[in-house]
Amino acid sequence: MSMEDPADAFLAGIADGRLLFLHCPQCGANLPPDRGLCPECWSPALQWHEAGGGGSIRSFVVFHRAFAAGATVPYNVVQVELDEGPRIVATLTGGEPAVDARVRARFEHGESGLRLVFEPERKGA
Amino acid sequence: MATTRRKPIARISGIGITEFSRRFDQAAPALAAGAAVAAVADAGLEKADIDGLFINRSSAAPKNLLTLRVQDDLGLRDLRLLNMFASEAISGIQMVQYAALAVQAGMARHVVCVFADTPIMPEQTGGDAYAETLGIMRVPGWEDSYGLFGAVGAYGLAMRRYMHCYGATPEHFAAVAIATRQWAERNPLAMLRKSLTVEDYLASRLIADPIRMLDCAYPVNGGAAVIVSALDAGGGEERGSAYIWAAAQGHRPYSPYGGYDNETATAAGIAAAQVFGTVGIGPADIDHVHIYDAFTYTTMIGLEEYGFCRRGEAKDFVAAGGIAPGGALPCNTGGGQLSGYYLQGLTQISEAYLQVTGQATGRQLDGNDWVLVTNQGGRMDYHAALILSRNPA
Repeated sequence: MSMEDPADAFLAGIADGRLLFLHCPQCGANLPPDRGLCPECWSPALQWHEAGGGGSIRSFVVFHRAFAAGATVPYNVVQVELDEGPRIVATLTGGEPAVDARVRARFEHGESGLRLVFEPERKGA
Repeated sequence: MATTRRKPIARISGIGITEFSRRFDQAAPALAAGAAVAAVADAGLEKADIDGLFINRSSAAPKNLLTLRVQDDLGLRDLRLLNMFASEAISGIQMVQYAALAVQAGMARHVVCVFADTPIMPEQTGGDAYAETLGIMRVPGWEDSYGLFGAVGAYGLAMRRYMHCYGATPEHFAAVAIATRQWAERNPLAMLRKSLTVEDYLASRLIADPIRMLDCAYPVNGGAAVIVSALDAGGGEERGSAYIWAAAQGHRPYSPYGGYDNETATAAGIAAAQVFGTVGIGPADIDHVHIYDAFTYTTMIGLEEYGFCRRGEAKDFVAAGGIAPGGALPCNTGGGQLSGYYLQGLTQISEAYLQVTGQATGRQLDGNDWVLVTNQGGRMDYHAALILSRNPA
């Protein structure tokens, strides 16, 4: 892996419409995109992989208090476990969140470029 | 398994608790000094007896809110031991643990362990003080961009997961809030003493669903200090001592990958095995427990992780009144952090000390042979526990 901050590489992927995670070739762990060292086997040689986009909702919260100025409540925040294993925080659009519900990653255009969201997986998709 | 030890390592010989306020009247250093002075007097000691000072600032507070300069304010000119503790909300028990080991090793005789905080500032509410994101992914700004603010974000995710896995409902968490309030009603020190019903709980404002206002600790400005003294040193003659029989920690990082159950299986079990094993007792021997209750959820999961209930069964135990006054396991008998006062780790330590020394006016319990005190912090990454007793042997 390059000396680049993994968070920057992950965010560059998002800006490019790609959801990246880290893979450890030494022990096989699939990791969140925020590590320079495999926390399982301590290998520093991590590789970027692109997620397939499928996953399930591990948990979620619905904010009713606006902590940020201008926030519109209520809004949901989901933690999605990607099929590859890493868990990603984002929001669910196009449906109501439920634990263990199947979802798919999607990129939408926001004020500052592409933004990762999840949406309910359609039957047969 | 730890080696069983049949004697205590040190004592808590005195306590100082400031007045609590929901307005900003005193800065944290003044609150810390006030608590320390009161604790020394409570132990029947004098300034010159104090040769150790441990200080804990809230991890949510600015770095300059409380510093090593507490030493200057107290004019402690001959300290042999001084430290700031920064292990988030387990620092309270850590201070007592390391002070106990220090006095046992002869590094000091009497160590003041103090916490003070002012989450409520002229232009900051208690809720605002804890709005800073408790990150899960370590991508700067990521959680903020989705609005996952505050400890309520990370703890809300954990609580929801528990509800899904074990069928817990809002009514179960109401039972924790109500039992804790029933204890607070009996404690003159507690901030929230109006009786609470399930309807009140369900009507309380949703913050980060499933977390309601009444699932959260009640922020106050205030401070508390305890004196940890060597077994053979003076102090505590008048009001009595709480003997420290065991102290332990357990830690595991929140790992958002690989199938780890960060939400429902924490490292509290490591602390539990160590603290019980040290004394050679188990959960069934505990007379009352003081579980870190920043949220109703942390009481619930703590009952399971320390072995009082099997996995997924704490909800039924609390719903049956198990932790309420008259229940099988009195828990957070001062009203905890939910209804009593939120001084992080010192909330649980202070109430346990008052019970063990027979000073728990209005809610005093008879059984004080074995008392468990727990702290936890981070996103449930960090855990610490104490076993206190009125018995010196």
